[in-house]
Amino acid sequence: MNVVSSPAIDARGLSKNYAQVCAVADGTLQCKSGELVTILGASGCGKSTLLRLICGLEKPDHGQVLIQNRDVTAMPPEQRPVNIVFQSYALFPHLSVYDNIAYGLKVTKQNSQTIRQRCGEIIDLMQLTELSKRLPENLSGGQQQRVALARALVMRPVALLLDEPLAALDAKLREQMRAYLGELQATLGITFLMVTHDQEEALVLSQRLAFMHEGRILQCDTPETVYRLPANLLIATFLGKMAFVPAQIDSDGNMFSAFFDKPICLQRNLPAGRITIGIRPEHVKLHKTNSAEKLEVAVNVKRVDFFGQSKLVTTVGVDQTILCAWLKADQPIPEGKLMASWEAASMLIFDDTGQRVSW
Amino acid sequence: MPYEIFSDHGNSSSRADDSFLAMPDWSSRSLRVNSLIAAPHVVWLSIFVILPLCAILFISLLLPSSATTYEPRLTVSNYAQVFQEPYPAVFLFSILIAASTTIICLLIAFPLALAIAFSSERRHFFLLLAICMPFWISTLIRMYSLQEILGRQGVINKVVLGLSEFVSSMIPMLPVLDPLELIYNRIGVLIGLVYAFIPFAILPMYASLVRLDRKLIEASRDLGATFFTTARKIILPLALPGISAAATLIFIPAIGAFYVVDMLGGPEELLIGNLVQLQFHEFNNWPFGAALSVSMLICTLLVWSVTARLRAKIYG
Amino acid sequence: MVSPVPLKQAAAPRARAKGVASQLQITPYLNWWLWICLAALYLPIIIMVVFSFNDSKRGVVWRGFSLRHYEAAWKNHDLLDAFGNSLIVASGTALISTALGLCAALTLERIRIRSISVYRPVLLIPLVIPEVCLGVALLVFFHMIGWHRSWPWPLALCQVLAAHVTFSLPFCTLLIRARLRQLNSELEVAARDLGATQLRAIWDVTVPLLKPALLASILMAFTLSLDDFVVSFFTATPEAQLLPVRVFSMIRFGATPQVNAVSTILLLITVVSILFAALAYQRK
Repeated sequence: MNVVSSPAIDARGLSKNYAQVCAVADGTLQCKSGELVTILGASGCGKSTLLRLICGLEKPDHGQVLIQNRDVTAMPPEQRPVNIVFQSYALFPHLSVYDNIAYGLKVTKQNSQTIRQRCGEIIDLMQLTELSKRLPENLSGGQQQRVALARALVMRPVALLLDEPLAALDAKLREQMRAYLGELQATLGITFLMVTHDQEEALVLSQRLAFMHEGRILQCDTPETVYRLPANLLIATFLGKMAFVPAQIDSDGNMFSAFFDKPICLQRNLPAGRITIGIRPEHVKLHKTNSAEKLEVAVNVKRVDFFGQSKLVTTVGVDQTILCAWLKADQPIPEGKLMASWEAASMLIFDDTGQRVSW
Repeated sequence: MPYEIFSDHGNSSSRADDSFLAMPDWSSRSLRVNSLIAAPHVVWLSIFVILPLCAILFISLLLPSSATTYEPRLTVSNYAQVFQEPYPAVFLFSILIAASTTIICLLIAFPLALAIAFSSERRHFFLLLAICMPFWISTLIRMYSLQEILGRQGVINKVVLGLSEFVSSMIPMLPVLDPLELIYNRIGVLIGLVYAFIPFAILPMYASLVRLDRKLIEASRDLGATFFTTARKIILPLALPGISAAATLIFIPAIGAFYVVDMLGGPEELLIGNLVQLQFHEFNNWPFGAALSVSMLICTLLVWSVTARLRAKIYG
Repeated sequence: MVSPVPLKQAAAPRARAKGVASQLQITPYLNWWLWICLAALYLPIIIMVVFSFNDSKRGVVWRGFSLRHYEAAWKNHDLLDAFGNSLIVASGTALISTALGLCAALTLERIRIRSISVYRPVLLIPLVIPEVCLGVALLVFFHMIGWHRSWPWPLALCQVLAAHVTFSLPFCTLLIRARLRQLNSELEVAARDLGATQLRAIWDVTVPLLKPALLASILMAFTLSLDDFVVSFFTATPEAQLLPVRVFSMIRFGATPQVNAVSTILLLITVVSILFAALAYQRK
């Protein structure tokens, strides 16, 4: 793995409008060399457009794209040292697997020796030897995916861009391919920039995760940080499960909410005003009797969803606020009225504008 | 044959993602490539469509001359002549004949298009091919064979007269019929025009009917509607775009189909197309012929814009 | 949701495979209508073919099988020349208008220029205006630029060729464009991403995938040109008569069964090429 201090991809303030509709408003993103970065967001948030801007399939209205410190903003896609794997794979249906893979080397006029050698290497690596004479229509989804990867990787790109690479596969295969992608990236050490709307995929695979919403990247950090400390309510809502409780803080630092029966003194310097509390179900404990915890409310069990290794208990508080808790599969649920409690430190607080307040 | 070409109702709005498909113009180089692709037919259409239309407009404003076909002096007298007897009557007659042709074609074609759209999908292609095959044979030759069928000595009269002779020999009270006059009159012209243009009615209607969600019909039947109610309330409104496309595709060429009249019409029947053809080939009065054909073009464009507006209305 | 279906209807098997019409109980009537119309469409053509083999000078009474009209047509040099001219013009039209149609379809679908929306209707003009108008306009135009009746034989075909290309161009364009729309446009994009220039991507990816449509377009333009009468009538020069125009004057001067014979041969050519076109278009 070559260690280059300059980022492989450096997108600076990219923006793109389609006929008044803003697709990307402020695309700023850096990928270090050899890093696997995912862009996560709901469909229509502009993440695919950002990818297309980086590989040159779209021309930005504003902003710059730098690849290994070279400004490629004005370059057509064929001259950029990055390659893309399309969601639809876009394999050439009239060419065999081998010809698909060799296409890029042929059009860039490599000599036939090089072409044969590099195609051979990548075909071995991707275990496509047996398929190399087939046409794409005779391949399964996973095989097509591997061909698409091989076709891009044979070009030895500075960075590989993947547009929803797993979306077209069925659930079982998706998990396999996910693991495969991670291993492949680790082996090759090439920068991967992947776009997905699947949070599990993003959390599992990425070394860094960029959350995108309405054309802007709202947070870009390790998956753990983004999950534990989401920058705002949007991310918190999107990633994982979280219960939200509206509350109010007065000038003395006391918190009031219809959810709690009493005001709670947090003894921290939080600004006064409306806030929203976020509680992850894995931090919630359910028990029969009062505990020593300060943060504790009375709840009723509404529903239990069984997930195999664990179960999710949905409860409602006195003001009908919904609070969930993960329980082990074999853990019994106490009957009747319950108390739910959690540690104060595990609680997230968002201010009036939805930004997380660190406390 | 490939009915898809008729199913494009000229609306580009269906492609909101247009911008996503095309590649951006990167540099002056790609601009050059784009012009390389665009140039051939732009040049071709400019030379062989735009210029000729200008030429005919120009010549229609010149003074006719028997020696040199036209004199380089501007005049509007040719257009004034268009409004003199008997030309307005011919225009009216042409429009009436073309309109009747259109209506007859639509009436025949609607159940036909339904029959194809309702048949199993494997048969669609072959039925469409069967419908279109005669259409790909020169109209001229088809009109000629109609002559052989419809004439006094034609196949139809042979059969009808033979039958009537047979019937009157059995029942002496009934007289032997005279031969039917199916040709060299308006009936002949109408039969010829309908025969010539019927595929233009079938294809667009089929194209809009086949896209109709069959669950709608099932739903309508499920809710207790009879077939005719379903046809009127569900199928017909949804087929309207196809019907209006069909009407345009028939009406416009029907006004100009001079050879149909030449071969199947009598001396009374004249279409605008015949007037144009006569001015150019018999009377050698090009400026007036040009004026006639410009007038015809204007009629056509009027029809086109009216139906286009109608379609826009349907689409809301 | 529960639909208010009477029990007996709900219990009836819904034979999707047989098409909806089976439930509508109207199919028999529609099918009868279909067969009647097909018979009416084909009757004139069958009669024409049958009487081309008739051993009689006038085509109305059957007098036995004979090939004499084919023989007479074969010996009719005017007719043969016109036939040859028609084939040459049709072949030229097929190639030129398909090439131009490909360019036009690519322009409409793949190039992002604002003025394209203005250009779209212009492309369809030859489809919209009556053939007579187009024929007359081209006649006047050829006359005005002095490109008229004095040229010797092969060159004399040029103007009718130009005319034929002009009216078949929109058909070819629409046909190719319909196919182009079905193509995954990401393929071309993928080729560019792998290093191909715009032209190279079109040539390597789009054109091979359009092959069936291109073949269909060639054959369609061929038959359109071969069968055209109106435009040829106005633009063909006396030195370069085309078959339909020749046939028209033969019919005018009193029909002979030779016309039937020639028409039958023309029919055969048309049917064969259309079948090929249809197969080409159907094949994926």
